[in-house]
Amino acid sequence: MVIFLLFTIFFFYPICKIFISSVYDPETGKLSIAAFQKFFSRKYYTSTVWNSLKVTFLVTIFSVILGTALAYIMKTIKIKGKAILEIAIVVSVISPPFIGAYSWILLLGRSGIITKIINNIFGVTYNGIYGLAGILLVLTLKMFPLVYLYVNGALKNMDNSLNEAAENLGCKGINKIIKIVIPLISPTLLAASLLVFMRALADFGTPMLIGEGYRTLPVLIYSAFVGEMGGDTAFASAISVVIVVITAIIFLVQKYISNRKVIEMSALNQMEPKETKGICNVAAHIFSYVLVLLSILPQAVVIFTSFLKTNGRIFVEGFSMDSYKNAFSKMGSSIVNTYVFSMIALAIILVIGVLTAYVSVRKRNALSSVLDTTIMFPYIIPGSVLGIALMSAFNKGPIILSGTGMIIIVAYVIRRQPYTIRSSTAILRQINPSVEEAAQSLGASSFKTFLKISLPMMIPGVVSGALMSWMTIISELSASIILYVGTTRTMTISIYTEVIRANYGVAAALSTILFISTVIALVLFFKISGKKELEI
Amino acid sequence: MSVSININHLVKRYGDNTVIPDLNLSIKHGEFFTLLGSSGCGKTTLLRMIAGFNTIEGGTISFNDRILNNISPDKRNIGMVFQNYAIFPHMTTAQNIAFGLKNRKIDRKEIDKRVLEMLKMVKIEDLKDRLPSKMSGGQQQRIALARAIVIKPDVLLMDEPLSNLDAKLRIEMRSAIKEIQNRFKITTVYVTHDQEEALAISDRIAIMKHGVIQQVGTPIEIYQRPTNLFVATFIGQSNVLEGRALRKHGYKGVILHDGTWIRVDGLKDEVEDGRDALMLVRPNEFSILEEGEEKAGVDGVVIESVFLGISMQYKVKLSNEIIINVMQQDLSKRAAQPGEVVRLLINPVYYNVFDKKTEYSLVNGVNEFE
Repeated sequence: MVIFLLFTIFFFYPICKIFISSVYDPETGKLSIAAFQKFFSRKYYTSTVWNSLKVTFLVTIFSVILGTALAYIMKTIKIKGKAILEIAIVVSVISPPFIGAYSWILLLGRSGIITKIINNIFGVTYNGIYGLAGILLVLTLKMFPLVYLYVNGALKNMDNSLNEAAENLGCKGINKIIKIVIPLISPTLLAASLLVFMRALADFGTPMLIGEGYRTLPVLIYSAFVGEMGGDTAFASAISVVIVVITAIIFLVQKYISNRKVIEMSALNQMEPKETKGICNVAAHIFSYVLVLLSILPQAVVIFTSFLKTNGRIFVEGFSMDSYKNAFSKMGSSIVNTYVFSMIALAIILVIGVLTAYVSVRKRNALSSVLDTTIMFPYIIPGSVLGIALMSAFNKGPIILSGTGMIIIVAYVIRRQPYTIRSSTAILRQINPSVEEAAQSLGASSFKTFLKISLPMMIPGVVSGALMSWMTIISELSASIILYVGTTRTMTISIYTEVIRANYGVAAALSTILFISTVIALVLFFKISGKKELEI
Repeated sequence: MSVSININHLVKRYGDNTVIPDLNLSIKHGEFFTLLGSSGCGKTTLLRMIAGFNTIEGGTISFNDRILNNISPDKRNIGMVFQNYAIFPHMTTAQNIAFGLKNRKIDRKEIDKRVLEMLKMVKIEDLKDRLPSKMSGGQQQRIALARAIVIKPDVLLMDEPLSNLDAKLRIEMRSAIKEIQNRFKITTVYVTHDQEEALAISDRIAIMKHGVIQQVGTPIEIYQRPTNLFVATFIGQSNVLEGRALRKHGYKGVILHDGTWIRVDGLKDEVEDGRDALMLVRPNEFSILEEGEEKAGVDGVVIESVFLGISMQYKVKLSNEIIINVMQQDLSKRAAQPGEVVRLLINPVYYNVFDKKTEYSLVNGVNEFE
């Protein structure tokens, strides 16, 4: 009940405020759709919607194709070095998205390393991969590993006898994949597509850095609210409404479709990779290696350049730790902030998550089902929208939070809460209620039972969920970029600002620190949960 | 210490579905009482109502004179053993057993003493500081038992505790449970679907079907004097012969399908001639007529004969095409061969005859509730 209250204050209120400010003109004190009119009247703005949708759909399609292909190939053909490839894939999933953007600028930007090579070899003047192409490249390479993980999980649950039965009946190769495999994993494909779609739609850093003027909706919101020509809350709110409507529609469509197709599968015989020969084998290996290489390239480049000597803003010959020294001295506070904010947010998330899970699984009533649905709302609100919602809601009384670290923590909590609730619920469901009943029969009250029995049994799962959450918290950008002030910067914000200012050295150093933190968390996660693979 | 349990007009409903319409039961203090029936008959539901994990929609449950309906499970002072043991996986054996004692604010020394006593009694001392994760079913079950008993509960409830164990272990644990219960004389309510187990372990048994108690009695009573056809066929093996009530030469009796008349003195006086009846005969209550003897019996053809070591089992087809099971335990007599025509004598300890329509017993001396 308390949770519900908290949630209402911190989430519903700001969101409602946004919707209201989009139609309410504070100056004239009247309801007006002027903001919306402004948005839909100028082609400059409406084209943004079109751009966003174009990007999002293309990225979704490409990454689903690539991810599924890779997953299928890795499941059916024995690829040498598969273990290393899988680690690389996991690594690329957990690194922040926009790091890819600026990495690619280093490689394929105007003065990028690869650009120079191409220009020299082919004697052309290639101006670099900016605009739509750049955004597509970065986002696709960033998202396909996610699809891979989803599809990998689904294929694990697919009984190989289904494949064999199909072949036995004369259906082989591509035909089999299209007619048998794809339909069977379609619920997973839908879920993965939805995730990719929403992430791509809401992604702020990538188009901002590599788009070079190619406007997508999050970029527009940011510049309307914060940028030089900003300060137009109503307008930003209007755009937010548009985004939320789009996401909500897609979300509902996906829910509708996935409810209609319910396929239960469990594998008695799992699919085993087989050795193949010839062209197929070579092609498969090349495809896998190249794809995975491309996906971790950005991160590798970043780590590499963090150790290069810099002369002002340019990389020069030789290695040094200067970038790191600069990072710590100038941006030291942002490193501290990141850890402090994320830990506090994590603590709050854990408490709320565990309690909500308990109420939702063990004490079902009308309120708990309402709670279930409302908890999922943050999924469909892009980070940028949340940012401006919180900002405008808590700018004035009764609760003033803007400009403090607290508001960033609130953003973290709201954005990352659903995941922990889901994983806590999943663990709790695995605990047989008879253990709790045994405790009660031995004289322990409900509360005592929860503390002494249920909670200790949940801990391994809760901790690994917490680690996953932490990894995503520290790389959050789109909301915090709107909420920060000088003293409350976090590492991701610093990385972003340094990249904008072309201080690539310091940006690289900070990114690497962030990366190492994530890797440590990941290693701990695998150790504690005892899992061998990452399942989302 | 141990209490008597009184259940009056108990009702259990799930939404519109009434699973227990009106149940009345009296369990004596110190008694080992078993609820027996097949899946879905309501025995576990009833047990959980006594424990407090299922709500009560009507009637009362009392321990001695104390009505329990609104008392939460942690305050009922019951010890419960679950089918899947429900051992706390994050605590050692000793900690598991101590859990209930800790909730009762007993001092440390006393707890340690009692736990050690219990470990010795169920023979798992060497598992004292181990975590349950790698233990066998039998060991976990002993822990569950120890944990439930150490708190000296008023009532011990057991929900099919042995059904997940293999056959040999089941018999071993059965004796262990009986022995412990005998020592402490805690009122015990035991749920099972295994009739052999029920017969072996109980002071009294209640047989349930669709939420209704069919009969309550000692194992012998239930076996030898079943109140209705359901109870008769649920316990032990049985054959059912069709016939009609008929008096002959002034004696009460039953005439079977082939005209054989069996004298049944115990038949109730009010049973009129011609009433359709069913006679229950257990396989070992038949004997094959020796050559040269002249007695009344049913005739049939042996269609199968199996040697089982301690007995011969026959399938015999009667003149009305019904096939019955016959067990011959006196192996000094010659075994009958398939194809042989035999006459079967019927000599049970008590004759059991049931009304064909109502399926209720037609003989005297049978009680629904003992």
